[in-house]
Amino acid sequence: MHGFLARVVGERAAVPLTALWYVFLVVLIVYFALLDQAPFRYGQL
Amino acid sequence: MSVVSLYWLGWLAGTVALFWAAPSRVRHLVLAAISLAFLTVHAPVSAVVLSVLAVLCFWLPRLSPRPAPAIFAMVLAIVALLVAYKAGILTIGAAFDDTGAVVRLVMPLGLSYYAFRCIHYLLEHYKGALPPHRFSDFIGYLFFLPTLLAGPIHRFPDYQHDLSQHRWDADTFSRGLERVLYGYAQIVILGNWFASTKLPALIAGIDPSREALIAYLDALRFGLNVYFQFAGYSNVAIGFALLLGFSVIENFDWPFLRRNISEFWRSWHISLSGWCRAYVYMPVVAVTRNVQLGALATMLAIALWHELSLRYVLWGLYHGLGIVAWQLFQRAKPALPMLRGPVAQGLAVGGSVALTFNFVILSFVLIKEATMPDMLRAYATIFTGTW
Repeated sequence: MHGFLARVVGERAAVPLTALWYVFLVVLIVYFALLDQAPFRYGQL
Repeated sequence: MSVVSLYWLGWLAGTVALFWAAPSRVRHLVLAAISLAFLTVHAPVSAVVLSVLAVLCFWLPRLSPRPAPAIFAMVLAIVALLVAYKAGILTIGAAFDDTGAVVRLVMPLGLSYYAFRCIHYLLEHYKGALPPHRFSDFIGYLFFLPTLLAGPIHRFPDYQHDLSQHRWDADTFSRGLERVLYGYAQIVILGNWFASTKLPALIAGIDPSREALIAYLDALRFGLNVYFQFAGYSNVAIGFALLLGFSVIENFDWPFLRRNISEFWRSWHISLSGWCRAYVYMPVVAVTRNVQLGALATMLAIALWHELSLRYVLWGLYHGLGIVAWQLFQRAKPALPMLRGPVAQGLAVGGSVALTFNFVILSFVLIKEATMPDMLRAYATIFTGTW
């Protein structure tokens, strides 16, 4: 994602934007993990 | 234990920290020790089986006065072990426990994956295609925690290449973190929430008289769930390996956007299909000079690797016959009229993608339904029911 953003908005702006993207993903994953009732089936260890 | 848990994330983070804290010469052994500890805690049977296999696969061909028969005997023994466990699962699981509790006790964790890694190592050793290495390198390869339990089935030369040039690289580490995040997003959001929760709710809201549409969407939901879960897990494994400075073979490459079934199988579970291409397809074609037979044998091997059952045999034959049909079409293609112009070619590509996508989605009916009558009923509903 950093490489893509660096091409679009430049190297300086890409670093914080990439960090924001990761934070957004983490929040999203945690939110859906808490919301989720479905078991993780296929790759269950 | 689930990959989507703080417990597993704890193992992941702890492994990465201990790995990089260790002196560089013994890092791969530290990782092997962590993997062994993990197996001992969660699957002691698997720890024993893998340890025995590691010793035999490395030393038997080297100590035997006749290496070639020893290698082939070892390959056959591993296949027999795999078949025995898979057949044993079905018998014992069905006889004593419907919940699958016995299955987890009996089946060594990750056996299907490390058995194939062992066979790959033995056959490459036979061909003399392995780079120079020591026993400790092989141990590091077999006990590689990121791919130990559910793949990808990476190759020894790739592992050895990364090991020989191993060093800390911030960019690789950052890519690893990103892949782990994308993997979890795929599992949690697309797999667990969208395909397992949201889609079933949407399907349940459809007018019950539209039974064909409901049966088709249920197959679609099943296929998407398998894809998101497994591709997500593969991303976590590949990311985990990158965090340790190793590149592991990709397992999925947009399989649902492929133009034919052959392309599909080069982009779905790539490490398994690549393994079967090297060790099933090529030898069968070399012996029989028949690519159709090679395709059928390969798809049957892939199917039986998943499960020893009639429904998977049918699933393998379905895909095998699909590839044979595609091969025959390729032969007939030069005699067909050429499509000219961007519109006609675009339509042809779109049609090919749609055809391949639906061919694959319909194949999930074979493994989705619990019994043969249910499977036949589902197909009858899709093809003759009301849309």
